[in-house]
Amino acid sequence: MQASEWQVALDRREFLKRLLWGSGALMAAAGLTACGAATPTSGTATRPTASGATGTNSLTFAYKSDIFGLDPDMNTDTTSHVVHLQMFDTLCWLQPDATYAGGLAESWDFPDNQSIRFHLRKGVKFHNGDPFTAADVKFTIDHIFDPSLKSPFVPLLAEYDHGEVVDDYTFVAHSKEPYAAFQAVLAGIFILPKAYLEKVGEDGFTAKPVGTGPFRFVSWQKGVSVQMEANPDYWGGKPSINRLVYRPIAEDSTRIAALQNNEAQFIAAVPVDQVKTLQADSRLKIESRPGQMIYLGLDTLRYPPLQKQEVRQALNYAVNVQSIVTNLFDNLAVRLNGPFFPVQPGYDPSLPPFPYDPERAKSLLAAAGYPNGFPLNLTVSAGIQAAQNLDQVGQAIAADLGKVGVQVKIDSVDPQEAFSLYAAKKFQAYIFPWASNPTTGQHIYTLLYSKSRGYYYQNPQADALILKYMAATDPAQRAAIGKQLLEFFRTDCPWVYLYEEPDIYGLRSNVDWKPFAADYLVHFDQVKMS
Amino acid sequence: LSRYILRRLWQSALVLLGVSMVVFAIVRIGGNPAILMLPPQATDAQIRAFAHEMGFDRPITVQYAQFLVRALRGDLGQSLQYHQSALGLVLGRFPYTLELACAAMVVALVVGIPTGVVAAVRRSTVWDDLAVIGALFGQSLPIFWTGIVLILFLSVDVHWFPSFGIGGLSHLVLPALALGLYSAGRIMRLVRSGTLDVLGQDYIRTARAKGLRESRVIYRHALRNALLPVITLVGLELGTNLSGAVVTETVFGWPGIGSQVVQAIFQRDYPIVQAVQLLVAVVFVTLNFLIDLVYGLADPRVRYA
Repeated sequence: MQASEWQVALDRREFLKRLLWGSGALMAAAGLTACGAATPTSGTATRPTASGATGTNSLTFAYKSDIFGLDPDMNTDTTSHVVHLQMFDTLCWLQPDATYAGGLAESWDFPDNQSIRFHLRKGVKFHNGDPFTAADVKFTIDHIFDPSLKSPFVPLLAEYDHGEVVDDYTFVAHSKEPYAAFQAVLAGIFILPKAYLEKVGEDGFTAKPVGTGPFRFVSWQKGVSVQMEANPDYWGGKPSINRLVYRPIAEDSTRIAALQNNEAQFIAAVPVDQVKTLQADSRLKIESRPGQMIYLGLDTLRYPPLQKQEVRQALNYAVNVQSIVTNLFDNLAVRLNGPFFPVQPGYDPSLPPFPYDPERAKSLLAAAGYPNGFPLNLTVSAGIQAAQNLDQVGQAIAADLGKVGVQVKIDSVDPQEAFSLYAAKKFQAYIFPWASNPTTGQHIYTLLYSKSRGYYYQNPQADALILKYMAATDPAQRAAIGKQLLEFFRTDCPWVYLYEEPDIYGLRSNVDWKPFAADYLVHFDQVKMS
Repeated sequence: LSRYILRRLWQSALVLLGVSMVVFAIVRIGGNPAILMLPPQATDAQIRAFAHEMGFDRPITVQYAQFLVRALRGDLGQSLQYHQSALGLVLGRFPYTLELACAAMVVALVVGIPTGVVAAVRRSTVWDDLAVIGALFGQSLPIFWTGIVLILFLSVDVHWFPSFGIGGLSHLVLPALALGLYSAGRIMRLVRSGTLDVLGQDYIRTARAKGLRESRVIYRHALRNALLPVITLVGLELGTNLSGAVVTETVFGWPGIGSQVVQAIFQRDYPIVQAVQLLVAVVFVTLNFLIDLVYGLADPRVRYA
């Protein structure tokens, strides 16, 4: 009995000793295993170096989020498209003046108001050596409509009817009805290699994608990096950057530290409040361009005060947007004179934004029967679609409206809840962003046409003009209708017009790149390093 | 002992079942999960079609049974963003979390145990005060702040370490320090109080009376007994770190499940969020089970309780 107790005690002591040694060894082994387990999930079998690409003409680009996939038809988010853009080409490219320049199509014409005929570039090759022809264009669009793929692109191509391959270098796209934004929609499609994709299948393609773009795919390690190398045979000339690395860094401060440390040479999504820090560093520089539109939506359908046009006009005079632009955005935001983007057909730069005029606002409110103002619930969702400083913007607006008697109560909701409440028509007033396709005017149709969303504003006169605007394929005619529409909305005021927030990039001083307003992407073949 | 193990296994299974219910319920609390999962532009018809395809229009008990059967097969659905198996994606990132958690634990032990011993042995001296204040700071400073300060000083200013991401050992140092110093404070305090308790025991007086060197008394006799509760704490801290050090991974751009789940939440990628939650539950349950086993082996009273 005694012996057995002694035996137990000894076992326990021995066990504890082994446990201590064992846990140390386990940790070391786990560390090594983890290092060894970190192989790329796709692409080449070797693990890419995860340090920044700091060699000559190597550039590391850091952004907030990881990409989601390498098939551009399956991921329509801007982040993934930043990478797709480097490896794939589109038929035509948006220019700073909101017109289009040739991409894989050298030129195009319009046989009628429902078709575009693309004359394709000859001698272009995919990265695997396959020649590019009209069959690839037709295949790409058919691929989007493949029901087994469930491509999120399908709703964007709602107006596409069919395409025809006339010969190897001529492709005609037909729309269901006259549609002004048809070319813009087609310009968003990255052309895929028919023969290669049919040979390797969807999984093979996403593991090793092949395009015609300025950079070739090397590897993708999820959450870590996408590695690309220059395509020496690119039809537009070999890019000056030899190696391009995409790195996701979610935290703003860390992304900026990586730039300061030269671990990244190009970063996106720099917060406004960090601009001065970066500008103070001679090794760095800032580039900025107008980004998403921020507007104050009003429930003109259900909330009695907001049903009156004078009240909505009064709110436009009551909000000091210039103060927001100056004090919260360091003058990097762009004031808007209506619901149009400045790069959109019909925008009229000669029309000034609503001036800050609280007295006029008060008299308009009095004329509308609200001399003492009215209560208003304003929903603010900080960080919705990565919009900056929305909390402060909401507070500034509430203070301004308070000065003319409108008693604002701010409801803060998280972005997911905001979208649900928005669709359920629960808002009286709300601050929302709109980001995509600034040149097409699509947001006017989606947000203000009664048979599209029509959640908070419906007006038969606006509807008629919007339909004409969206169908006008002749640019001059479209601009004229757009101008009419803009003037109409400046009178009817479905929203309080605010600003385009700045889209800010941080660069090392030896990196040369100039952004332009109409585009949200970065073409790295146009980036130069000295 | 085998009955004890069986009982603990049964309890672990119950816990996992409970967690599976929470994970299942979490996307259904706010109403139709299809609305949460689809982009805000989705039309009513698209929402209905998606809900039907995902089986959200069936009775809730049927949905849960299907969820459970699939989960047991390792099928937690496809990531809505990556269009790949959610569990596969999460398991692909787990080794990075494991690497960081283990490295942080090494930092915590290497810093926490010696300072704890020194503080106890030199009680009420300036060393004790320094150690206690250090532990207080280690536990009080938020990791996002410590992390950014470490990056600014050790990376941006003196260029000793890279500021983010994975790579060689140098990439591991800053995140492991940020995460490890937090645990080090707790370990130090436990080692200090444990050692102080033990130092007053009779067998320590006996050891000293035998004429043993003081270092031998401390490290062979006192510390070994003082470390017993530390084992529990290390297990729990490791579990927390393995659950994805969300803040540390996000600050240092570390590609583990912590940063993955943050991105998935922002992107409304619920299958990934569910997969991470279940994996974390399994990790915790397993670690707790192992700790209980260790306790059973280390202290016979636990087994017969």
